[in-house]
Amino acid sequence: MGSESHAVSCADNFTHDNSVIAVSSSPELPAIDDIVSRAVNQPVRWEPGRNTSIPQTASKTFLTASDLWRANQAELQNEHSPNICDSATQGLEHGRKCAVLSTTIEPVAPVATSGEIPSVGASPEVIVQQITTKRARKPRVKKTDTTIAPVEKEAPVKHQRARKTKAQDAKDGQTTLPKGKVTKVVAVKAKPSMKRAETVSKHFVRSGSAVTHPDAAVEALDPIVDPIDLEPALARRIDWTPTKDTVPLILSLDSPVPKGSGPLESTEPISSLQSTRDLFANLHDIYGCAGHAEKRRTSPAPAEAVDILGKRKLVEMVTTSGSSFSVANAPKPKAKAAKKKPRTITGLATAAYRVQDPSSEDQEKDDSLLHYFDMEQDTNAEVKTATTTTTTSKTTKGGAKPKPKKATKKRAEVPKPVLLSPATALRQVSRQDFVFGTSSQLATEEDAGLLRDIQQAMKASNQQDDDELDKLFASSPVNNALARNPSRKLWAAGARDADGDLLQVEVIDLVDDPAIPKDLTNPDVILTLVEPQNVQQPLSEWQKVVASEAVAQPDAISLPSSPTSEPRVEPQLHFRSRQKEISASSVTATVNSISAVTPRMAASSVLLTDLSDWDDEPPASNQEQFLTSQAGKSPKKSMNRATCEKTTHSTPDSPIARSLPAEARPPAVSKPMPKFEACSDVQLAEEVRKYGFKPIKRRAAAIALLTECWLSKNRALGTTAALSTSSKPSGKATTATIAPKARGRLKKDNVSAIEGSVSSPARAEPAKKPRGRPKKDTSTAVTTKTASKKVARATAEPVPRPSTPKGRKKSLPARDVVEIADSEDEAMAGFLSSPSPSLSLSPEPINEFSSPSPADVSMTEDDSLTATPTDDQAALFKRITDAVTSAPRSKDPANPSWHEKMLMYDPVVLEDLTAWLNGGQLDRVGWDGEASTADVKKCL
Amino acid sequence: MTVLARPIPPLYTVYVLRSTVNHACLYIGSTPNPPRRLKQHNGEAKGGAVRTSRSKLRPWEMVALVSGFTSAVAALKFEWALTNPHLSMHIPSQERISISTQRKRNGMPKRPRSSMTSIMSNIHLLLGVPSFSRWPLRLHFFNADVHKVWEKTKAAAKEPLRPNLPVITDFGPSTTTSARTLESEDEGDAPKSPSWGINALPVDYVPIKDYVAKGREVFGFEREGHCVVCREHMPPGEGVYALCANDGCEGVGHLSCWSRHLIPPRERQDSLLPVDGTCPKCSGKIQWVDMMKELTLRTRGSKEVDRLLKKKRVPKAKAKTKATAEATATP
Repeated sequence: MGSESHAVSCADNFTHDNSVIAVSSSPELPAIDDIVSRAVNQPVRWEPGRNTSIPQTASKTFLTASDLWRANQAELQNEHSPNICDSATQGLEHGRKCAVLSTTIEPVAPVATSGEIPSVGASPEVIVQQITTKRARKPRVKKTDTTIAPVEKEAPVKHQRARKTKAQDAKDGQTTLPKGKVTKVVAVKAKPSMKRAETVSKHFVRSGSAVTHPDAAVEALDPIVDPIDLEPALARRIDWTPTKDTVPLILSLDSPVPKGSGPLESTEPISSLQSTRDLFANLHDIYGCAGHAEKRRTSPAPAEAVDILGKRKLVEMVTTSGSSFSVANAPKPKAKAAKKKPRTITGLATAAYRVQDPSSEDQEKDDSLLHYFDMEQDTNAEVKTATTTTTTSKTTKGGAKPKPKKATKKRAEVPKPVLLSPATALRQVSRQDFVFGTSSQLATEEDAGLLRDIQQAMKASNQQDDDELDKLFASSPVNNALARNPSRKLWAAGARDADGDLLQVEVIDLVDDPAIPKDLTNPDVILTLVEPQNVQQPLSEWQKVVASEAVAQPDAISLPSSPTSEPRVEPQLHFRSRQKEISASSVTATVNSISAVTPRMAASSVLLTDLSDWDDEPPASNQEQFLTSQAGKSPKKSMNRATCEKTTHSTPDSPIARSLPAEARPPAVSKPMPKFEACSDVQLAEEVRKYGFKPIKRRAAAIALLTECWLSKNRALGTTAALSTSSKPSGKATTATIAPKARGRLKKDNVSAIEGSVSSPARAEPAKKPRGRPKKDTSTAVTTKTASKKVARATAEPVPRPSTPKGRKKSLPARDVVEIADSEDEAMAGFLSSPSPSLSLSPEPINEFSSPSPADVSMTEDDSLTATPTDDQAALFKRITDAVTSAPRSKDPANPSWHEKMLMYDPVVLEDLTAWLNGGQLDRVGWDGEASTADVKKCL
Repeated sequence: MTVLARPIPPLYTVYVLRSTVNHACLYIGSTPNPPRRLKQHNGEAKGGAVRTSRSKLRPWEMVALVSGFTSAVAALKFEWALTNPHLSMHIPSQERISISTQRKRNGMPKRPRSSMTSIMSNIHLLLGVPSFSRWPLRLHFFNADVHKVWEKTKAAAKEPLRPNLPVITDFGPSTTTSARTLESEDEGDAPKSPSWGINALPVDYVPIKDYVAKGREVFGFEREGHCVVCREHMPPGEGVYALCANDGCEGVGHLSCWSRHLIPPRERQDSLLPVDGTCPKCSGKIQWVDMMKELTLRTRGSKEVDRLLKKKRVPKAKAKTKATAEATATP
């Protein structure tokens, strides 16, 4: 009842209002009837702003004969069948042409036919009407006012109409579905739009009494509707904004309407059940405005689907539905077209932390090339962000799989993006345990510890490989053996002498071994070789020697205290005997000899251990051999050797010799080294002077220097005096350079002092310093952090001067000392003995390489194509040029030679040119090496 | 990988584009056809650039360009170097003008903002860099303001532009026409007077048509003769031969011989590319690039040559018909 009242109320102002009009039950018919009649009496005029609706039954497409025919049929049927639905569907069929037809027909011949459907012959009128109504749908619908008016009056019937229309919709294969929808909706929604009202009314008008609606009210309505002379309904305006209703209503009302019941089909007799369902539906419709609103939201998709299906019809129609369709769909694509930001790895990973700034957005809009960089380098750049540890760990794991990792990480992160303060973040980062490795390693290895071990093992083996390589290439600059792990005990096993032969431990006769090159240019050496060994001298002489020197080294006395074995005595004697022959040779030579002597002089066991402890390098083994050979085999020879060394002693050697038993090598030997600390300042000054250094004011510095000198002397082996010829200058120079620098910095002050002391005389020696020296000095101060490296650097400096003047023999021990001191840092006193040139040279290259780097940083960083080429490169370029220009002219104009190509300004593909050059051209012009594309590029 | 070689393009330029709305908005690009490209930038044709697509900045104008690149690759190299002066390896680090001080999020150094001054300075720098110094480039200006900036840059530069290199650089407003028009007209005047600025640039091979035709004749009829430099006989199809560019002179020689001839001995160590010189036969001045253009056209661009020379025949035909018409008309 309420619905009916509602309907009535709606009907009251149905001319202006699209409210739903419910089907009224019979008691209300009169009211409706009145309304209708009122409406009839008040012709509705078409006004542009008026919300005149298009009759539901109005066809959206052009009227065709089939439509007309069907309409006729339907009406005929309707006359007989009590099914209002039929008529409704009929009317809706094919775009409600029937309805229109019927409605239009009615008014056209209202009197003549009471429900009689005019023959098709009347179709022209109908058509005319139809057209007019159709036109009425379009904006310029003003023409057919009369037709519209009656439709509007059929408001009360709308509801039933709607139901019918639903039924008809099923049949409306061709009818535009949106139309169908609309009609249904309209029907459901109690006719918010006049269109629906019209439709409904039309239906009812058309069907007349023949309409049998399940709803009694509807049925009852029919006869009431019949006599109404309604004008053809106003054409529906499809181009208006669609009302909110339609879609959900359709859905809800679908069920009750039996599907497949079309005007042509025999509609099942609508049972009372259906009628009740319909009633319910009506009720639902009536009261369901709000609900429909929800449904509307849910059913835009089906609405769309229906719309899509109805596109066919839409297309056929000119603008009416198309506009609404487009309007309906306009917002949706817009929503989708909202800017989709390119999803980069960076974006994904940092989304949680991103501070919204336009610049970052702009970056995302950049070129795909930049995006490419983003992908590649963000994975690296992510390392820098300390905020997300997971991020960093993931990125450090290698960029090979950044995406999945980042994605997963992001997922993990997104829930709680805790943003840490920088300090906290850094702490967190430092707490992390990073495992680095190649992506393949990381991917396959889950166990971090295992990974670490693998890496360590590889590193160790690589180092060993490098060391062996260094042995092969005596002057290889790459070896930083000195800086390396001092615990490589097997150096001795692979020890080689100057000739590259493997040093056999027990075999080498340090004195007469032909493998050991003797510096025969040194007369002293020759003398020693020739001279019989005045080995047999009592220790006391040594002591005397010691005493004869003004410098009193308390610890020097400790030497005699050591078990005097013959070998030890011998060197002492030798030492003494040779004192006179000692010229003002460099202290380093002295050191060298003394260091050679040292093993013999000092407590052999102690020294031996010390020596062996120095390093695992062959020199150590040499020393061992030396000692063993002394002990066993040819004392004479060894003594010769010792004398050989001694000949180069200078007077200052004695104090050094005295000072030998100091614990120059802190870990192993404490005896030999004289305790400089115990000396007085004057004594220290004297020592320093004897070493050839300038007087040092600071006591500590003096002590350090002296210890260094002593150590270096101790360590250097006499046997390798000649061997280390080549490395002498380097040793000298390095020690020299180290001296000023190393003092404050080396971890072992003693060592550094000795080295410094040794090096300072060396420094005085070289007349000309290499150009790089001052730079390197500064650089040594600057670059490395560990003392060993500094020492290494210093030792490496002399590398640029590979050739040693003869007088530089003495520098070797210094260098050896330096090198030893280098390894000192590793906690062992004299590791690196330097007999092997390669080894001795090894620290130097490090120096060379590291020291130039800070000074020449600007140069090395200048990797522009215009940077001055090194000599090597320049030579290569010349070769390349020659190769190119001297290549024979090409015979074929289509394949010019490289030269010709260049002349013709052809773009030169670097790879091709490089390949060509390496493929024989460079050999042709006398170049053995191969060019690289970078070289070629620079050359060009 | 052998790229299918193309003849030297008649014109390939790297240009500087400036917004007429905002003179501070600049763009650097390259094209073989400046007028067409300008239309694209301004939206009158399809295919503009993202950076010039902002309608607020349109219309754009080309204020300066460097022409004479011998290939697209070469032009793109230069263009990139000019767009990224902070990165380019062609510039020695000491001389670098634009230095980036920041890094972008992806780790690349941020490009410093470019102004007309900076662009001009970088052009000046790049033209003098060894990589580009021997290229047969020319510099054109189409705007007096920009030219003034250039002059300032030149004055302030440490080295003179392309010093001691006999390379032609027109750093006045490009060739005669635009210079004159610039001076005579205001910039505000209709810039689209028929052959002005970029529209005056020769976009095709027409300027060297005669030369090309001559070459075609000579080689078509195998009139090469002997190498003008080494006097060797040159079998017609068996070598890369270059032809003197001067009218009437048919001096042909081996390419390498020519180059040897044109590079003074003292420079032989430094460079392969000759720049200009005199023909041994006719003693006329020649530009290496001209000769190379013709050479490449002849060897690789036969189709272009056909197209170039074909038009000649059409007027001939027309003339013929005209003549015949006249002949018939005048009985």
